[in-house]
Amino acid sequence: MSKPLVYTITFVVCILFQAGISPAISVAGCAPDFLLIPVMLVAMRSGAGAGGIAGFFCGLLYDLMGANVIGGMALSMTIMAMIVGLLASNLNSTSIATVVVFAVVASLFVELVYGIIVMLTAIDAGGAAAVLVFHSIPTALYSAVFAIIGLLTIGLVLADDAPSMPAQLGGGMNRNKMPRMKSRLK
Amino acid sequence: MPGLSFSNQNQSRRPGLWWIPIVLIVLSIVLITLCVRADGGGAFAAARNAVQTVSKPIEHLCSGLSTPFKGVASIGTDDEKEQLQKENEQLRTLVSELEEYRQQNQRLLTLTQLADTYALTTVSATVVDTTSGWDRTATINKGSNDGIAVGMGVMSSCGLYGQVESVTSTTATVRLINDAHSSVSAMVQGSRARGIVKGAYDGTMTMEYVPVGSTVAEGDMVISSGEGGTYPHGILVGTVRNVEVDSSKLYYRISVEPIFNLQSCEEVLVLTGNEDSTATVIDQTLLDQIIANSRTSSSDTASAGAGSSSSSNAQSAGTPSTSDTTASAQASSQDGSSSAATGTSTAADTSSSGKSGSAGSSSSTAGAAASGGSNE
Repeated sequence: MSKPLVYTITFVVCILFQAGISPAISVAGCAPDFLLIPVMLVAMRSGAGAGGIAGFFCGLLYDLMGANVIGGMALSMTIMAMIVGLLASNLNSTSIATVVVFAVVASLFVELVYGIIVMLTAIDAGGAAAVLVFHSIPTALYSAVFAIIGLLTIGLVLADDAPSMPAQLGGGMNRNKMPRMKSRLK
Repeated sequence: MPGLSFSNQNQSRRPGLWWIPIVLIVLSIVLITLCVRADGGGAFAAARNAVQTVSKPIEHLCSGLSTPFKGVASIGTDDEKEQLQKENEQLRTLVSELEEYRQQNQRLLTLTQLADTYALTTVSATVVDTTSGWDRTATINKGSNDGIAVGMGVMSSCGLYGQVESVTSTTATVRLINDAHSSVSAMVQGSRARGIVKGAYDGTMTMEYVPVGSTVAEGDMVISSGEGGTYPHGILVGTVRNVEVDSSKLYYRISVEPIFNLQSCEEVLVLTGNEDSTATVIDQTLLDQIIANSRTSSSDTASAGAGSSSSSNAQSAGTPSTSDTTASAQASSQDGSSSAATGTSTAADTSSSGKSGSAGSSSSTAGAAASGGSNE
């Protein structure tokens, strides 16, 4: 399956999940953030630049679907995608464990930065520390679970294109297709 | 574990895109600043409404689809036992439904009385979803098609509820009064000391800017002052829980306790207008009833399985009248502390509801509430 198609499907599915499924499966006010999946996917596969763009627009969408300050999630997701993109581009090989660590740390980072931004823009930040601990961290871990499942699933789908590398998760695409992809990107 | 290469080395080295995230980060900070300065209004509200017009129906659809799966019961093995269990479940469901109707009837009656007392033009709505955490909001099932607009006040049968934050054609998002971004102009009912009630992330409320020296005591009622025009004067906000002097030594910092659980509210009235701004006198008996109602509703929820009283009350749920209200109020008084006084006050309220009806039975406290006069 081609990368643009995978990206498109991932974005559409995750946006629909964020709008519909996420509120329905919230536990004690903690709803998973499905938009983390496409942002991390783009950041890990296409680098900091493309990841930052994906992070900004997905974060903006999250802000517009919620009731908090607009730009808060856009900022935190852009920073996260940039960092993930930079780290991923410097890793020669990414194991499942690395994907798991990336998902958990990125999710925690996004939730905590977003929490701090919301806290700073509030009229009264009373009780914010408790919300950071009892809302942001559980939400981050909840989101990380779905991010891990999503990223590994997408990795397997992408790996189908690379029969010579069956264990590779999204290692990319068939090496024969690389030159064509490069020319298309140019 | 086999080596994996999730990252794509070839594409990550594209040098042309590195500056874009920096620009987007700056853009995000600008957006946050503008949004805070505009208080979420203007173009931000329009953009949010546009997105939520698409996202809210999807949310409702998924919510509707997932609801049947939430109550799946276990299946028994023995036929007779299974049948009895099934029957028992049906009866429990029926009792629960009837109890639900009784409570809803009681809440709606109080809401109607409140709207009559304040002479308000209102739109009744049902809360379909609430959020907690960084934002305490509720989604109601009425939107711009029903005349609801951003900024309108919202009240429940127990008092002040929140303000409309964003609107789609069929739904609206209400920011609750205990949200950290909420502030309400309020006054202490007894001393008329005015201040601002603000929410916080932990769901508590604090009244600020009440000058030191004002008479404020624990348990005093805090009501809306009507300043700003969002909410009418005299709607219950909460009770004073704790009073302390703030760091400037000029003002009190008063901890206000909501009179009811805002997150569990089901029916609300959106204040779409105020027909008569002078009719802002709140009846003390009605106020008492609101408080009793909020207390009994929480205890009623716990004792939902009280079969006989529920079924007898449920018979009167369909046709609200004075006698029905009295019956239901008396029945609810069996549960707890509100006693028969609730029943009598309900009857009095029902018969004396209206713009001038409050004058007859107003106590001195109600008189104090009335002295606030017209809506500012």
